[in-house]
Amino acid sequence: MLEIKNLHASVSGKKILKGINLSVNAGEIHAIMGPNGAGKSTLASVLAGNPKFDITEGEVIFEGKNLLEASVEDRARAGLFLGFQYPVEIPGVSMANFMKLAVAERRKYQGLDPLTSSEFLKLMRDKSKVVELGGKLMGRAVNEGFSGGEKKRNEIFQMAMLDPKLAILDETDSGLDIDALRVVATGVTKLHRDDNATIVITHYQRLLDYIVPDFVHVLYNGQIIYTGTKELALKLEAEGYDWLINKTE
Amino acid sequence: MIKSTEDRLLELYFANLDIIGEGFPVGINSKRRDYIESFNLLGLPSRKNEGYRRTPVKCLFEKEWENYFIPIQTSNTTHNTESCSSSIKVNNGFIEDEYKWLLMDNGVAIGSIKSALEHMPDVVLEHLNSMAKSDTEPLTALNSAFMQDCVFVFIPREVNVEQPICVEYNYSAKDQQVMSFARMLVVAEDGADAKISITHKNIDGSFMVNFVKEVYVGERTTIEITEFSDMGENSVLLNNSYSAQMKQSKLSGVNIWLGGSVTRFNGVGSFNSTDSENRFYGLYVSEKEQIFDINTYMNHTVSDCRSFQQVKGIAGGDSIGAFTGRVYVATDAQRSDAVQQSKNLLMGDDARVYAEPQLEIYADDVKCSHGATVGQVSDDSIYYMRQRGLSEANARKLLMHGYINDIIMHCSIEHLCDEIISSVDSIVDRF
Ligand SMILES: Nc1ncnc2c1ncn2[C@@H]1O[C@H](COP(=O)(O)OP(=O)(O)O)[C@@H](O)[C@H]1O
Ligand SMILES: [Mg+2]
Repeated sequence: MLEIKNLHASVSGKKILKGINLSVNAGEIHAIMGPNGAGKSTLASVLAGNPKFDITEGEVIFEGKNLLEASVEDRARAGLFLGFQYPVEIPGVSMANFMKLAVAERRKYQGLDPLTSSEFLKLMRDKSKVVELGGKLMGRAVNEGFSGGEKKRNEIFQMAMLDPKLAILDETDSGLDIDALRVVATGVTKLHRDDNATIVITHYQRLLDYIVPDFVHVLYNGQIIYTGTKELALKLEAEGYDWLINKTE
Repeated sequence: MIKSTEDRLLELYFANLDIIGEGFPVGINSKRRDYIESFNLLGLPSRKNEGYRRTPVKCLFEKEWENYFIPIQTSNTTHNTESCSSSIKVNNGFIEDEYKWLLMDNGVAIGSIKSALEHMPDVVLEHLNSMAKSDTEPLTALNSAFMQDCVFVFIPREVNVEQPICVEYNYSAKDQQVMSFARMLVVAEDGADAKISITHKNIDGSFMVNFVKEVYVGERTTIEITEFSDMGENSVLLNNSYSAQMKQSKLSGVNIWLGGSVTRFNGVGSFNSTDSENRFYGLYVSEKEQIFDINTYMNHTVSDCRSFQQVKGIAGGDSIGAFTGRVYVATDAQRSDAVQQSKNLLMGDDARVYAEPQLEIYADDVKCSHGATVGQVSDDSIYYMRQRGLSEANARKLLMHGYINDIIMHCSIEHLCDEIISSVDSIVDRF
C-alpha cells in the first residue's frame, strides 16, 4: 500500500528526514516511536504533502502511484488521512459543512454518487458514535472551543467519515486522560480492516495497550534505527531510548 | 476667483431655498438656517480633520455632482417585498408617490416625512433632528439643511411587529453624476418591538449620497436593524447614523457594506437612560480600489448600559479598510459594560487596513474591553482543510465564509440575509 524509499526532507534548509525506508501493507498497523524532535511529525507532514517541507531525495509509492507528485488534496482524496497532532480551529465553519465537502470529494474520487442530505446526516450520526462524540459538537465550528480530548476524538471522527486507505495518526494519544485514550484507541481499532492500514505515531506505549501494532519502528535523528514488534514498545517504555541509540551509534 | 466647494454648496442652497423648503412647516424650515450656518462654519472635512483621515470628503464633493431638487425619471427597480410587513421605496432620496403614507391596523405608519407632518406632527417635530448632530458634523448639517424628503417609520407603544418593515433606497441616474440627500427617521415608542431592513442600491449612474438616519428607541423597546449597502463603483455613500435609547431598551444593528468607491459610515449611539443594550455588527468586503471607512461612537453617559461592537472586514485588491471606534464612558456611567472588536483579513497585496478601537473611560466601576486584529488567511487552516480533500480554492472560500459568518449570522431578516449572503459570496468567490 505504502512504500517509502530513502526519503530525505528538510525545512528552511535544515535536514530533518535522513533516509527513511518503510513499507506498509493492507491490514497492518505500524507504530512509530521515538524521542521528541526525532522527525515523526515531519514524516507525517511530508506524506500528507505539507508545503512547508522540501523533499530532497527519495521516493514514496502509495497505492501504486507516486505520492510525492500529488497535491495535498489529491492524496487525501485517494485515501491518505492525517490525524493532526495539533488540530486546527476554523471559526464560523460548522463540522457538518466541512465534512459534507470533504466526504463529497472523497466519494467523487472513489466514483461513488454524492450522498443525499439524509444519508449524510445518518453517516454523521453513525460515525460520531465511533468516538462517542455528542451531536452538539457537530453543530459547532470545526474544533473551535473544543477541549484537547474533543479535538483528538474529532480527528478520529473525521477519519471514520472519510474511510481512508491509510491513516497516519500523529500523537493522537498525547494530552488525553485515560478515558479519552480508551475512546480514541477503541475507535481506531473499530475502524481497522483487512483492506486498510494505520500508522500510529506515539511516544507512549500506553496507546499500544489498546491498539496492537504489527510493527514498532523507532525513529531517531531522521532515520528508522530499529524495527520490532509490540514487545519493543514495552522495552522502550521501561528502559527509554538510550540503549537503542547507543547500540546504533 | 475660484469658488471653494463649500461656497458652491452654499450657493446651491440659497439659490434653491424655496424649492427645498416647499411643503415643510415653518418650524422645520426656520432651523435650516442654523444647519447651513453650521455647515458654513465647520466646512467640509479634509483628511486633516480627526475622524476623516481615511475619507477625502472634500475632494469627493469637488467632483461635478448634479443636484436635482425634483425626483428624476429613473430606471425601473425591482422591489422585494416578500415577507415584509410593510415596505417603502425611495428613489434618489425621494419617496415614490405610491408609498407616501401607509398606516397599518396596528398603528404602524411608514411614509414620507411630509405626510407624517400632516398625520402626526408632534411626533415628527419632537424627534426629527433631535439626534443628528448638525452642530458638530458638517455632513449631517448639510443633509439637515438640504433635506427635501425623509422616510418616516413609526412603531407605536407596545406594538410588536413580527415581520420586518422594509425600506429600499434606490439610486438611479442612467449615466449621470448625482448628489442625493437621503434621510430616515425611525420612532419606536415605549414597549415596541420591530425589525427594520434598509437597503441602499445603486441601479445606475454615479452617486454622492450623503445620508442621515435617526433612530429613537423608547423604553423597553427592542429594535433590530439590518442595513445593507451595495453601491456602484463610481459612487460614494456617506452614511451618518444616530440613535438614542431610553431605559431598558435594546437596539441591535447589522451593517453590511459592499461596493462603492467610498463608503463612510459614521455611527453615533447614545444611551439616554439606564439599563439599555446596544449591539452593533459590521462587515465590509472590498475587492478593488475602494475605501471603507467605518467609524462608531458609543456614548455611555448614564449607568448600567451594555454595548457590544464587532466590526469585521476583508480587504482585497488595493483597497483601504478602516475602523475607528470610540467608546466613551462618562464619570457617572458606572457599571457600564462595553466591548469593541475589530477583525480584519488582508487579502490584497496592496490593501491596507487601519484599525483603531479606542476607549475613553472616566467611571471607575466598569467592564470594558477592546481589541483589533489584522491578519491573513492562515496557511495552517488551508492545509488542514486540503488534507481532508478540499481544493485550495474551496478551502480558502470556506475559511472566508466562516470568517464573515460571525457577522451575517446576526441578520434576522431572512430574505435580506439571503441576498447579503449571495452578494458576499460572489465577491469572496472572486478572491
Ligand atoms: N517548520 C519548522 N521549521 C523549522 N524546524 C522545524 C519545523 N518543523 C519541525 N522542525 C524541526 O524538525 C525536527 C523534527 O521535528 P518533528 O518532526 O516535529 O519531531 P517529532 O514529531 O518527532 O517530535 C525538530 O528539530 C524540529 O525543531
Ligand atoms: Mg510530533
